[in-house]
This record gives sequence, C-alpha cells and structure tokens, in this order.
Amino acid sequence: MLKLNNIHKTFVLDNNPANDRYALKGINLEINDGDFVTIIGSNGSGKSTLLNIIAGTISPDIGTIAFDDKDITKLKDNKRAKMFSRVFQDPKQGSVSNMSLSQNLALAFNRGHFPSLKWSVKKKDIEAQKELLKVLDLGLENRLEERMSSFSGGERQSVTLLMASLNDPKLLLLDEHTAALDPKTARKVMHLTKDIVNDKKVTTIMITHNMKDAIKYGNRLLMMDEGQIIFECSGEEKSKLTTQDLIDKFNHLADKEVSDTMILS
Amino acid sequence: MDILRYLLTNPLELGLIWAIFGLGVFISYRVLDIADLSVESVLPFSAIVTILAINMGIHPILAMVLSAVSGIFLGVITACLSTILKLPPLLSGIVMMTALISFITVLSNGNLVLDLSKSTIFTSTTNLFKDWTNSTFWGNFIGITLILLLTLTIICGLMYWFFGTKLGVAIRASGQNKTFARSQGINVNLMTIIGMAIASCLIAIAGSLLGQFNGSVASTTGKGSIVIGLAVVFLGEVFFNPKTFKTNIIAVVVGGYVYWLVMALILSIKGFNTSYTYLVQACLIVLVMVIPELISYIRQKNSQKRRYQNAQIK
Repeated sequence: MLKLNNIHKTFVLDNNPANDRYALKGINLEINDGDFVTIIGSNGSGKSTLLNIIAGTISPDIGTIAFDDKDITKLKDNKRAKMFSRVFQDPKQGSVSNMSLSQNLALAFNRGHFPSLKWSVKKKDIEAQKELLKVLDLGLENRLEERMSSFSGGERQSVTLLMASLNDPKLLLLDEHTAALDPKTARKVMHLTKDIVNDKKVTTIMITHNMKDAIKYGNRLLMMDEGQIIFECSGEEKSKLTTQDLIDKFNHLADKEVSDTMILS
Repeated sequence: MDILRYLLTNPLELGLIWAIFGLGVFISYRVLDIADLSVESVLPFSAIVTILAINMGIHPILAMVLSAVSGIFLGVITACLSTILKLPPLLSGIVMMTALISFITVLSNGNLVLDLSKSTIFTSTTNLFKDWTNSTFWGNFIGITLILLLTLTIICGLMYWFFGTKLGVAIRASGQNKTFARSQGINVNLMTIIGMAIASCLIAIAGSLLGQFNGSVASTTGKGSIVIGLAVVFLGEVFFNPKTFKTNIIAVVVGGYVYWLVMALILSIKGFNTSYTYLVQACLIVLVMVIPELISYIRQKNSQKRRYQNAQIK
C-alpha cells in the first residue's frame, strides 16, 4: 500500500527563479494492493517526475512517501528496488547492451541481494532462465548467450518486463514502456503486461500516452496536468470512459483548449 | 644482429608489462566508462614503492604486493572523489594525478635507482637461465619473460573469473547502464569504487614490474602513459573486434605486444632521436583511431558503388 502525502518538487535550472520548473504541486495519492493505476497527462504534467519520486530516483522537496506504513521518503532508489521494479520508456535503458541476455536475467534474479562472488550464471540457472523465456513465446530461450544489443526494441522491452516481474515485486512501475515501439509490438507488450500483472497480482502504476490503453487496462485512471492530479476515475465508471470523455474532461479541468493529438503525445 | 635481437625481445617484455597496464585502463575506460588520468601518477608512484621497499631489503614479491595495495588505496580515493564528493570523473583522475606528483618528487628526488645488490622479482629466474644458456642477454630475456608471462596469466585468469561473478557483472552493469543497475538494486557508487580499486591495482602491478625491469624511476616516468594504455586497448580492438569479455582480455594483451613492436621498429631506425618518442606515441594513437574508420568508410563507399551501379541519374 503506497501513500504519497503532499509531494512538491521543483527543478532548479540556475540562479534565476523564473527558470524554475515547478513539476509537482502537492500530490496526494493512495494506491492499494492490487490496484492497476494508469496515468495520463500532457507533456510536462509531471507524470514521469511522479514515477521517479515513487521509484526513489528523485527525492521530493516537501512531502512523504510511505509504503506498507513505513516511511520510505529517504530510502535510496537502489534500496527500494528490492520491492519496486521498473520498466523504462527507452528499450535500451532496460538492460545492459554489451552483456548477454543470460547475464542480464541473472542480474534481475539477484535483485535485492548484494552481488556475491559466486559465479553469475550456473548451469542450473540456465535451465531456469530458458523456462522463464519460453513464456514470452519469442524464441529468446535459444538466444541466451547473445548480447542484448542484437535484440529488437520489442524483444528488449519484453525482457525488461519479464525481469521486472521476477522476485515478487510489491510494485511495478511502467514509464510509457510501449511509447518507443511500433503499434504491433506495442500491443504485444501490453498483452504481456496484462498477463504478468494478472499472474503475479502485482500492484502496478503505468504511465501511458495512449488514452485507449489507459481506459482499457487497469482499475484506476489518473489524469495529470501542470503538476497536479486533475481527474480520477475507477472501477465501473472507468471502464465506461471513452477517449472523447477524457479529452472533454481535460479541456474542462485544465482550463486549456487541447486537441486530441496533444494529449496523445 | 643487435637490432634483430632487440626487435625479438624488447616488444615482448614491454608488451607483457604494458598489457597489464592496458588491462587496468580497460577496466576504468571500457568497463566503468571513466577516463582515468590518475594512471599517469599511479604507475611511477607504485614503481617508487617497489624500489624503495626492495632497497630496504624487503622481498620483491612482498614489495609488489605493497605496490598493489597502494594502487587499491589510490583507486578507492579517486573513485570516492567522483562518487561521494561528486567531482566529475575526469577531474577526479586529474586531481589524483596532480596530488601524487608531490609524493613522487619527494620520494624519488628526481631519479630513484634500484640497489643492484638486491634481488628483484626477476633475479632468480634470470640467474637460472643465464647459467642454462650461458648468455647474459638470453638469460635475462627468458627469465624476465617467464615471470611476466606467469604474472599476466594469473591476472587474466583472475579478471576473467571475477567479471563473471555476480559482483563482477554488477560492476559491469554499473559502468554501462547506471540507471538500470540502480533499478536492479545495485549500489552503483560502491561498484564504481571496487572497480576503480581493481583498475588502479593493475596499474600499480604494472608500475612495480616496470620499476624492477628498468631498475629506476624518474620523475618523467609515467608521462604519456594514459595515451599508451588507450593505444594498447584500441589496437587490440582494431585487430580482434572483441565481442565477449574473454576476447576483450586477449585483445588487450595482443594490443600491448603490437604497440611495442611498432614502437621498437620506429625506435630502431638509425639516428632516431628518442626525444621524439612522445610525438610518435601521439601519432600512433591517432592512426589507431583513424585507420579502422577509414577502412570501414572505404568499404561502405565500395558497396554503395555496387548497389547503385544501375541507378541512372536522368
């Protein structure tokens, strides 16, 4: 159970206060176990900043984050990684390019433990990795020794997603993870995401630029603009939403006139 | 005849020593993605530690261990400058390099010479082979090369093992993709410190061997060594195009030998003024960087010519 309390964050560019970017203006958010929350919003609305603050990559200026009633505001991102796993927007970010698929998987298997001097991938680990990769149905189990750089964006993103599901994470953070993929591959990765979330029953927060996906997946939807959550919807009401509803809501609440392509970006 | 002997032996000896140095540069520059200029001072500093220790009567292997430990210590400090004090990594290396100059000057007094009455790490084997071959020159060569080969083999074996362990893989991930490493729970700062400690340790071992090989250390020793180290790494990559960690290690060793072979060939030119050695080293690394690009450019142009042979401009 994740609780964000009065989160404010400003990015300071230089000594001139006029250039400050007030990214999050008082975020209060409670996410329950089992929630699958989708977040949409225009560019600069603070979605990625919010995710980075939850992951611990950035710390808030004011406010607290609590997880399972423990204050984690001061906990560093690599320590939070034991409980939270992430998939990034850039497929290249989600694995080490010049190491093999097998070694990358071994890193994920070891997430949360201090790396020991034991050999990184033993024979029995390889069998376990092959079984794991068969689930993806991409033939990757036959390519364990290849460098990650030889895989396509969709394959890499699927691997990163698979790695994020290992070791029973308490929270899955997805940062526009299909944005850099072509529509067909994006659909495949979204199906994989849905399967993983359902199988592992992991609480998930997904930022997406795709309004249809935001409506179709998950039980809760948040709309952000200018560092605030301007609209929230869940359950029945959420499943009845259409993309036009979202655009209308945005225009109404954000006090701006936007066409639907702008929200989609 | 002399020149031939020189060309056969010198590149091998220096190549082996600088292969160890090259492996250290490989770890900092390729694995950790840090341009570490501290090597220019760690090399002579470690040679000074070894020579001072041997002159004091300490056993040469222990002297080398002392140098290696000093390398680890210096590497940790350099890494802490960039990870904890958040200095830019390039500056961290420069700061360490500069700070060490004071120590090198004070300890070496301009030029430090090995007490010839003391044994070095090479003495027992060179004496053995000097008797065996009845030749000072060949005895020295075989004895020295054997010790260097042994040291290099042990180092290569340890490196291959270490960077295949969970810790080694975590260090590699930290160097290649910090954000991802953190998302897998890896303490990237700690990994950087450990990696730099290992890199500087290798530099120090090379320094210790160089000091015992040359029998002296001057205040100019080590100047330009980062260029040599990078040239060794790049040369190896040009020849081997290494894809795996194992082939990367082999590539550095080959690069070390090729580099000193080329240098030996150039230095053996009659009347070559050794003052121009630095200029040659600078030109060599430029060539090493440019020639592969040139070759692939020419290949590209040729394949384009073939591909568009039939495309007519109307």
